[in-house]
Amino acid sequence: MIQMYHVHMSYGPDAPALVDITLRVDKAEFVFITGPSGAGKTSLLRLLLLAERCDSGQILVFGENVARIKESRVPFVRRRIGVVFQDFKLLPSRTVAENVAVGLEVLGRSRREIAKKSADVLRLVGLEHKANSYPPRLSGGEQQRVAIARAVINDPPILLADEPTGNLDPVLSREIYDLLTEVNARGATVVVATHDIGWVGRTQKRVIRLERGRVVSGGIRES
Amino acid sequence: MVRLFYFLRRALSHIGRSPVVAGVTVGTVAVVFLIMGVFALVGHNLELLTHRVGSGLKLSVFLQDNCDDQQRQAVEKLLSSSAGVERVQFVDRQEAAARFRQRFGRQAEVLEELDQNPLPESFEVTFAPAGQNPQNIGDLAQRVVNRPGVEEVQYGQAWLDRFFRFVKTVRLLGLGVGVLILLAALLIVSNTIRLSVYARREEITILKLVGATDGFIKVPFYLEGVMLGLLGAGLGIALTWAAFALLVPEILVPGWLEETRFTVAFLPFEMMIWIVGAGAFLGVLGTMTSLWRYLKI
Repeated sequence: MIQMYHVHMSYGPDAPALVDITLRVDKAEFVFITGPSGAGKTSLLRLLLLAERCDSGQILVFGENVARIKESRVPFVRRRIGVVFQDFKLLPSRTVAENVAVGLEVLGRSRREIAKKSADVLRLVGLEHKANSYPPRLSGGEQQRVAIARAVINDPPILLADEPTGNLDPVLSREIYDLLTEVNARGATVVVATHDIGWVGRTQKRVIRLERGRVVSGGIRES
Repeated sequence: MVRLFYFLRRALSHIGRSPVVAGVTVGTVAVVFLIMGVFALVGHNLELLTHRVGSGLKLSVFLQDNCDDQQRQAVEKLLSSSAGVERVQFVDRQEAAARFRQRFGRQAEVLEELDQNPLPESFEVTFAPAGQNPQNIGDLAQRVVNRPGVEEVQYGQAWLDRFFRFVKTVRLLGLGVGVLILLAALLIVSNTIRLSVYARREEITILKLVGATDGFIKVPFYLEGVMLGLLGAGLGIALTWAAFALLVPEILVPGWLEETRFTVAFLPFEMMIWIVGAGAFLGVLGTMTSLWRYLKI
């Protein structure tokens, strides 16, 4: 599903972000990317999301080499990748249902279909009763669940999450993790970047560890 | 169609979320189009006046006393075959004397006291609309005046030149002022859209992340620009009409224009459509410059 070969990326001549990254994530796999702050976790996710371009190497997503992709193709790849951020990135002036609907509006779906799928996905994250609330009135955990609902509303084959529990306490973190596991169980490949190693260790999932822009362990699944 | 409604809803929500900015923009564009409307009104009425003056224009070619038939026929042929000429009428001495009597009444008795009719033969040339301009008439006069058998050519050169120069000056002035104020309006619309983009930068980021194309993000801004331009231009035309309805009967008609029996007309419907269309175009252009500078996607 995701393959990276000898990928290099930098934010300037003296600021290498990723160095010779080679890794592979299989279909329907759940993978953590861990490492200290500045290890390159966010840069790696931004590459997969096509928000950044690498300097060299190959990145295959859905079998397509996105390292050399045309700018006009980018939106179409992104429609198949859901994304969740630490700061939720919800629109405060739109209701929960409207925030969740954005992913389908972009696809030009009818209002009826959008209403139905929004209700379904809010049920999945347990927030159907908050459909008409505005994000600032929700707790952090609830806001993150809205963000997950928005990310998965069009059933993307890949879900990327960048420090999804970074702003949450352990109990809420557990809830979010359970929800991501649920999304994974429905068939999506889930990649979660986090620095919370203690918590990750208890999950029995594969961990790709980054340090100073390099993969130090877990890049390829051991069979 | 579903998409168009969606984009319209989004554009309307952009306007609805910052009504003061939108209101000020529409108001400013309206003032710009009021000024444009006044210039268009003056220009349009000068055009009508020009046509009226033009349709009354005649070129008189007076022949020498010793002009023979061959020379006369040659002059007539030249006149008839010239561009823009509608009709060439020969006026012989008797006709000229009859017209003289009709025009001067009792004073024309002076003719009876002369041994012979001193009025020359002439051709009267009237022009088709395409030929009713001083340039064309002047050119023809130049060509015919030196022909054998021609004594003199008259067409009211001096005042005609002055009148058309005046019309030309007004037109140029209108064009210059129009371009300047349109540029100002363009900056205002562009600035409003820039504020709109700025207010929506988070939304734009999220839309991009969920796979919105550039077009999907840009179209509502274009619609917003077009709506502001259309509303502003429409309001500007309405203000022009109000000013016309109030001022023309009060000030212009009882004054000097009454003498000329010329009726001041409001802008024709097609011209209003063009002006409102210019408002929409202004909206598109303003949005384009704004998105080009501030929406790097």
